[in-house]
Amino acid sequence: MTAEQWGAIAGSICIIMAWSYLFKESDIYYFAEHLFVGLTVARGLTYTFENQLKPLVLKDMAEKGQWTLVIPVVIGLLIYCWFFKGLRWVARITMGFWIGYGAGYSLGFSPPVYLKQVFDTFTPFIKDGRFNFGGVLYFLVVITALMYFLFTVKKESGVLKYGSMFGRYALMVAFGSAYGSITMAYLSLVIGKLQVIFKDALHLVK
Amino acid sequence: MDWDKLQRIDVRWIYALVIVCLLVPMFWPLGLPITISENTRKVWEAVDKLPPGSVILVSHDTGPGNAPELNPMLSALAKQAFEKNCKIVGVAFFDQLVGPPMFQEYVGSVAEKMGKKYGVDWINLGFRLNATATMRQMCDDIHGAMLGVDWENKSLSDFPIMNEVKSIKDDVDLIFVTTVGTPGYGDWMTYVAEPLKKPLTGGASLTMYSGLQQYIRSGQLQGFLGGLRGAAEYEQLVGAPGKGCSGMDAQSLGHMMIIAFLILGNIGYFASARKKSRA
Repeated sequence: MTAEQWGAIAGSICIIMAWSYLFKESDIYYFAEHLFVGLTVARGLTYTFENQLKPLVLKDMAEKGQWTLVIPVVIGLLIYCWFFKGLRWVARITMGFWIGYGAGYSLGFSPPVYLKQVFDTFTPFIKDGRFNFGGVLYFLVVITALMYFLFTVKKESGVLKYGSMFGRYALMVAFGSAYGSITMAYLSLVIGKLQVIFKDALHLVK
Repeated sequence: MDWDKLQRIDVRWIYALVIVCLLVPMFWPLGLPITISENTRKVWEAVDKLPPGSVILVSHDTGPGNAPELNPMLSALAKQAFEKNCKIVGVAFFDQLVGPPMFQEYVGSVAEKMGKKYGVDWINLGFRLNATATMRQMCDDIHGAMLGVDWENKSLSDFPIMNEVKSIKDDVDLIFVTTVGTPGYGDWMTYVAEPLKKPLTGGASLTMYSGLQQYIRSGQLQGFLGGLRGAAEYEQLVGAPGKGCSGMDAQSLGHMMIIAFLILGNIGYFASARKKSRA
């Protein structure tokens, strides 16, 4: 038997052990859970060391002499000060650096991407000589969904009341669509695991 | 009839029935037709219109749970790309334990069948931390962003393909992303595709379908493969039915069963509510 077949058999056993939870919580399930966590952490650590740290230290620092990379490494390591009561404030430097960098970086690039979508909301109501029902509906849904999220004004009558009501129904349709998609996705996952058991491990399905 | 019973069905019976419904078509395929959606066709066209020899950057950002949905997309993409003599460069930003090995397995098996060589026609650059910063660096310097090594720590300068592909800006013609969330289309669009005006396409878990509509509508995302269904459609388009197609009968039957349970549950709810109001 090849290593791949052994892998499929081991995978199938783990899948069945994990699925035993659907019947009842049991030691078999907990064993699978701990096995998964242990393996993931071990492999993750090894992979991070081999593919991230080693090239950084050996190539960039030692070979290319980019010793300035030590600065972000030190800033990163400061996060561990969180474990020392008197030095917790030092860990906040790392967090502050990270949040500031993230926010600035994201704001620098994001607006043009979203603006394109905002512009796309305003499509012509008449397209190629025909009434553009999809475009009109899209526009209405965007506007009314925004009305629903207006919390600083009273929406007791008029356009705002009915608009936000329409927006709420539109949001519910969107959530329904998302839920349907999620159901479909989860079934795909079960099918994938069944294929591992019956196709790859047992060879009962072509 | 005691309609209340319909609302008190032991959930384990439902699990068992779902499994049976998914298993039956695996052993006895029903051959239900698969229609090709417009979004899938757009993905196929995005690859089809590339000139021979183009470079496709693939980011396989999946975890263990969603891999069965997304992996078949890679096989189909590899088939279409290699037939056009396009080259594939793979990266991963979501899960270091799943993305790179799955890319290697699925693209590698197609490459082997089609006589394409690793390092010449395709390469696996592996996983990198800090996705957005790496993406930005890749725009100008792929070697530097990937720390100069492939997924097995071999030097990139040893591979002929990497002598041609130095940056996304100058050397990549299409970005194909398979994703389950973040990093995903939003990141690729914001930091790479839009600033560099590069076409972006790919597939994602169906859980993301609704949330991606605005990207497709605005044309920022050229088509979309939705989960296993999208993978099956794409496999049909490239003429290589695989794991995607083989799962579609099971999925259709599973859906029918869930719809049946939803109807039964609602009948039970309304009937018992009516009974209570009468009493």
